Amino acid sequence: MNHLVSFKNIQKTYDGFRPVVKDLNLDIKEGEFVTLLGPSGSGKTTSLMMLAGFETPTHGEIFLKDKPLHNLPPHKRDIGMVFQNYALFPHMTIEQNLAFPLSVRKMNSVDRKEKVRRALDMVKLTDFAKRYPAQMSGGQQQRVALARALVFEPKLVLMDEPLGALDKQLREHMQLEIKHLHKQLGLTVVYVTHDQSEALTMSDRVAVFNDGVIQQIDSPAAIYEAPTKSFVAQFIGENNTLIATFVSRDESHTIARLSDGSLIRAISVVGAKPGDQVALCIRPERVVVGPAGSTPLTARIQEYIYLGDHVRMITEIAGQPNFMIKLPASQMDSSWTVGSSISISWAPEHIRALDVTTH
Amino acid sequence: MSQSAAILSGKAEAVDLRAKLRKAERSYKLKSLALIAPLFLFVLVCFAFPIGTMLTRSVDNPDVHSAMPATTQALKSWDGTSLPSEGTFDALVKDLASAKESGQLGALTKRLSYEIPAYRTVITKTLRKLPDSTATSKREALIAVDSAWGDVNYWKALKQASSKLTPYFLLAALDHRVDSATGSIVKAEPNQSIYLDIFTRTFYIGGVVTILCLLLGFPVAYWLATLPEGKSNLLMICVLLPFWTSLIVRTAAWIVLLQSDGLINRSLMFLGIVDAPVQLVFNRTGVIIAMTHVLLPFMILPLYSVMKSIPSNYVRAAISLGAHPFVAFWRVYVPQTFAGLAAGGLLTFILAIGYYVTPALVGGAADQMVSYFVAFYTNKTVNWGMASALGSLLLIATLLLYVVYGKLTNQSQAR
Repeated sequence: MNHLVSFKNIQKTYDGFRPVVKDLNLDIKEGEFVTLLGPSGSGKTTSLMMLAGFETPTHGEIFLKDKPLHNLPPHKRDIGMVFQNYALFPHMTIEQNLAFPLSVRKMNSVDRKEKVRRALDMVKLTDFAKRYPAQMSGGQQQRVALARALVFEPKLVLMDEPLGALDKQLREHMQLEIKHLHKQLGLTVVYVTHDQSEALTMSDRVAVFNDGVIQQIDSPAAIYEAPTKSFVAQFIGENNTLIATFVSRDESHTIARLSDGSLIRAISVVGAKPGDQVALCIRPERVVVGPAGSTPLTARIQEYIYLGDHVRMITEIAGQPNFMIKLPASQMDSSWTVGSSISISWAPEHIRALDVTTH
Repeated sequence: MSQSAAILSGKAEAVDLRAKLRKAERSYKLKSLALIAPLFLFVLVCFAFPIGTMLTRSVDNPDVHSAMPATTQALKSWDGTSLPSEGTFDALVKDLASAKESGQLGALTKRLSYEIPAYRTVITKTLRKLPDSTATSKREALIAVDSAWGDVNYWKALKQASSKLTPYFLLAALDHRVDSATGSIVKAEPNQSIYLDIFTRTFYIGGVVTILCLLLGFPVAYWLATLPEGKSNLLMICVLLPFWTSLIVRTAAWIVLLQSDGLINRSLMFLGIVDAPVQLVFNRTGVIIAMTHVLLPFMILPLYSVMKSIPSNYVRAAISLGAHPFVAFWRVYVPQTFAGLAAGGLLTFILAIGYYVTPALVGGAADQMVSYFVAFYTNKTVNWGMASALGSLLLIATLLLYVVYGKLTNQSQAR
């Protein structure tokens, strides 16, 4: 096995009856950037904390380089960790903060100085060595936290929403910086966030968590373009869901009927029996609009939003409201007004028949 | 032309704006002053003023110069080497006679006896045979009554005691005195040197109690700070429980518990740990036990409030960086509690060195602290000079500690 980290049948509960993590199985390859993405309470942070050693699994085993971790206390795991709000020690200078992991490893002071200097170089903060964390901006503190987690050269680095406290511009900048460090140093990163765009930007693979279960784990493109659960379709990006009744299926496609009788052909993802409800999911930008009557499907415009480079229309289809259509401004037509009807269509590979969630 | 006009009008506008700001701020300032005023006046009238007057007593020296105004005046021009002039002796006779009339004699002799103990008999003897106005030379007549009046040292002592302000009490509180013969500061006689010992004892007891409070309070505060809110609030009530009963009741309770046939001794004997009762009360042990108990909350509360504000993230981060949990606690957690340690330690120490009731009730004669002697001089011997000198020195020690504390917290805030 070339897996650096393996979660095997991990379960975690705090109170004995409500599971926070239900049967987690996850393998992470060396050098991979894996993001655990999900809403709060989905079990992603708990999973990270179990890997770091601050929580113990109620059931199952985590392996690091094929060795079980359950008897290894957190300070012996050699895993770098970047915390939410950085957790820089306020009574130590930046230099002392960076030297801390080295001094607890009893490294001699010459090597220590050299490593600290290189780590500061890496995050471009060489001039700030003598400052205290409180004298630095959020972005700088973030970089120090990163340098501190990397200075002792761990193979595996965990990050718990490290960019949550930064403003948008800085966050995007730091995303790239972390991505570059990951490439340069050949790190394996497990990254926790609830921000989907962050997950898509940075990761090799994204694991979407909900209710203590990984809903889907795949590359960012596959997660976005080919969701296998309607939770994933809805959580990542914008999505339209049409509830329809299953009619039949051929090799790879499902035929389902809307309440107005129109039949829709979609990629089969969920298994269903005739009469079952299925959720047909399509991204707003994949909807094609033509003149009224040109296609069998008609949508009535409820709201029309002009956004400069593109327009959004909130429409109603077969009695189901809030169907969003996103079009480039160049395809705009002046006859589209609130209350009027338009004909819509899509390529059959862009609509997927998924499970119906209660969300 | 138009440009300079614009600048001028701009200036005028700026001045106008500043005036408006001042006006707006004035009403705000007045309002805040009005809100502070009642408390400020209360503190001034009931606290600052009485304490200020009391403190002046430590250097105030009214007895001699008010009882002997003429002699004081005459001694001002005295060279201090030979016997004073005939006129000074005249003034002395006059002053002694009028002091006897006005009843200031008691205070006078007492004050003079501080300088030379034999002064008391000299004055009594002189008063019995005060030379009348017929005597041609008052000097010879007085020396005939008591040879002390022919001794320059007695006059030097009189002159020293007649000044309006005196370092006498403050020096005495530090076991020193001004030698009236030479005018230099020398150590007091060994039989009068008790105060430095008392100060040492006071600081020693204060220090031991502070350290005990720290050792007992730190783990409790840490535990409280890590508990969930609801539980810690409940336990906080237990910590504060001692405040619900009066200090005297708590101290008396300690006597009941600690005495020879008290609960603790009986339990120890019942368990066979000791054969005879251990002396736990009316000695140093009792004082330290009772004071530690009374002062514990003052250590726990500041520590708790500081610990509550330290996120658990820090220790976790230290552990994730490879530190053993003990190392993480010692190098990352403890340094962040310094503000609480300083505040709690200072508060406990300052309260401890001012303690009166507890040592007075559960201590022996050798465990009394400075406050006991302040009370002793105020109530028993009515020597307010001495009482306020001891009090002033205690106050100075406290203020010095505050300065040190201020320096320490400023340093940590500068970061």
